[in-house]
Amino acid sequence: MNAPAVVMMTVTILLVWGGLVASLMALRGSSHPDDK
Amino acid sequence: MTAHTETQAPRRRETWSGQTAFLLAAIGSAVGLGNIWRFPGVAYSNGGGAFLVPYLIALLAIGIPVLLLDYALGHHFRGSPPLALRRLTSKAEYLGWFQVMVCFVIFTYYAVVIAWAAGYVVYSVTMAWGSDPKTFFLKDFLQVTEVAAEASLSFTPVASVMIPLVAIWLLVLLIVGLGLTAGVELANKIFLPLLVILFIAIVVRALFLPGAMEGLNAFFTPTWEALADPQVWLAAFAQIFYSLSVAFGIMLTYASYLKPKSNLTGTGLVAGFANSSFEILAGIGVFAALGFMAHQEGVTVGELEGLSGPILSFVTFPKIISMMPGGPLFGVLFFTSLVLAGVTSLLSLLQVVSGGLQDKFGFSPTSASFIMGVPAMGVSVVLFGTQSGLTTLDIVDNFINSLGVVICAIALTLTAAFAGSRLKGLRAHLNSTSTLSVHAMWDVLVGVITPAVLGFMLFTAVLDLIQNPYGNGDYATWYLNVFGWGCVVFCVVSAAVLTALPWKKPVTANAHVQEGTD
Repeated sequence: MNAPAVVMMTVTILLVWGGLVASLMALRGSSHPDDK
Repeated sequence: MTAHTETQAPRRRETWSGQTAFLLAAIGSAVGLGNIWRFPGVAYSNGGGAFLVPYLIALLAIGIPVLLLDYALGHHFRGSPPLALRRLTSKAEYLGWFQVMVCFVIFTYYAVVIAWAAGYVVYSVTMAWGSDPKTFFLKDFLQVTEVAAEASLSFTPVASVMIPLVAIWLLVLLIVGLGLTAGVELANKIFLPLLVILFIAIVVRALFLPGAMEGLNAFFTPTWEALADPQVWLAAFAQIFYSLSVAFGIMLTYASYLKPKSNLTGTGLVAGFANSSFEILAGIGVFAALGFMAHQEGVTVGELEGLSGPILSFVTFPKIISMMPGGPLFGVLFFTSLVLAGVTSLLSLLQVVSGGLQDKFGFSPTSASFIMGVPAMGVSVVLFGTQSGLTTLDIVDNFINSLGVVICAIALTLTAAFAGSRLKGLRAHLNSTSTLSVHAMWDVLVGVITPAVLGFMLFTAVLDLIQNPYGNGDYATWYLNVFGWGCVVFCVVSAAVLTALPWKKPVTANAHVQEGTD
């Protein structure tokens, strides 16, 4: 793969999948009684 | 909020068993056929890796904010679109029924595409399409005749489509008829994890094919000049809007079944990012496979045709499957993934209509499933399971999406902005139940930016449809009028009729304070 493609793939994965992981972690930290 | 009526006979409203169940259903709804066959092609043809910039901005500026609007309306007013919007303001019940009818039109043909995929699961075993998948798809499988291609309505049934179509309908109506937790929730708990596992297997296999890296180069190499093109930005906003299935009743309905103290913003963020994560995964898998195809044919990815839509799935992918070692297994996995992605989205469309019928007329889930299912299956089979089915589907899909869905969204955002306690009240509701607070900027994104962007999309779509009739002359004018403009008129008229019918029980405002009842 060429360098720009590698950079964009890495950035994409970090932002989108990282966003998913971060939002999941934030959700796990919530303490609402109906969350479970 | 304005009180519109009056008295109430409380009855228990079904709720999701928990947050995970809701999330699986919401993600299952958002992840549909478009994630697999639309996003990769749209990204590739709109700047490749550079498309990520407008795409992420659209996700954060429109996608997640409007998703939260749906959540706020559904959860605050605890009802399907007609009930929730009537509770917002009595004048908005019509908009709720318009959303219901748009969902009705969509699922009559959406089920057909799932039936095609189900048929191809079987065909994959023997690679029945042979050396010419396009001819097999159009002539042998769909039996599109020359007459049908020129848009003469045909009622000649196509058995290869009818059989899986009826099976799909019976399956989904059974699931919806079982009710929310025993049906829709359980199905999503099984289907969505299975879809993710199957698709990861597909992507891993595709990445190890020769030429896969060239496919990823084509997909991710950024063309930065594309960002100067307004059409690229419009494509990104449209992709996010259609992909997340927001603002036409689905997410509003699903959120209405959440328990009172649910974390709305947290689940909204997860659903939004999960949908985009699956799209990126699909893009990697699809373009790795396309890279392999280009490698086998000795051409570049840019020279390939059929990189998007049904042709990608039912013509290009069968070609790839025929070329690769272990192709039949790959084909079974790929088309099963399409079926699973489609069914979870179809269930959410059905739940909008079922929920509306239950709320207004007091039907049980089973009765509502039967009452909507019989006419829907009839329309589905008669219009789309025939030799002219492909033509009709293409026209209805274009008009209902570019007009019906966009009208729903514009009307919903403007209604929320100007009715009842307006966006400020809905934001207060979001913040009262969630751990992550919504900033006041949300009011601007939902009440100004979103209707402005969607209004421009609608204006250009209408202008284009008037100046250049859809299909570039391939479709007869009467056919476009009946099935294109006609399906939008059908939604307008049938929504008015349903609005005029009396409620089985009087509607109360402020349902949110009466937990677990409607």
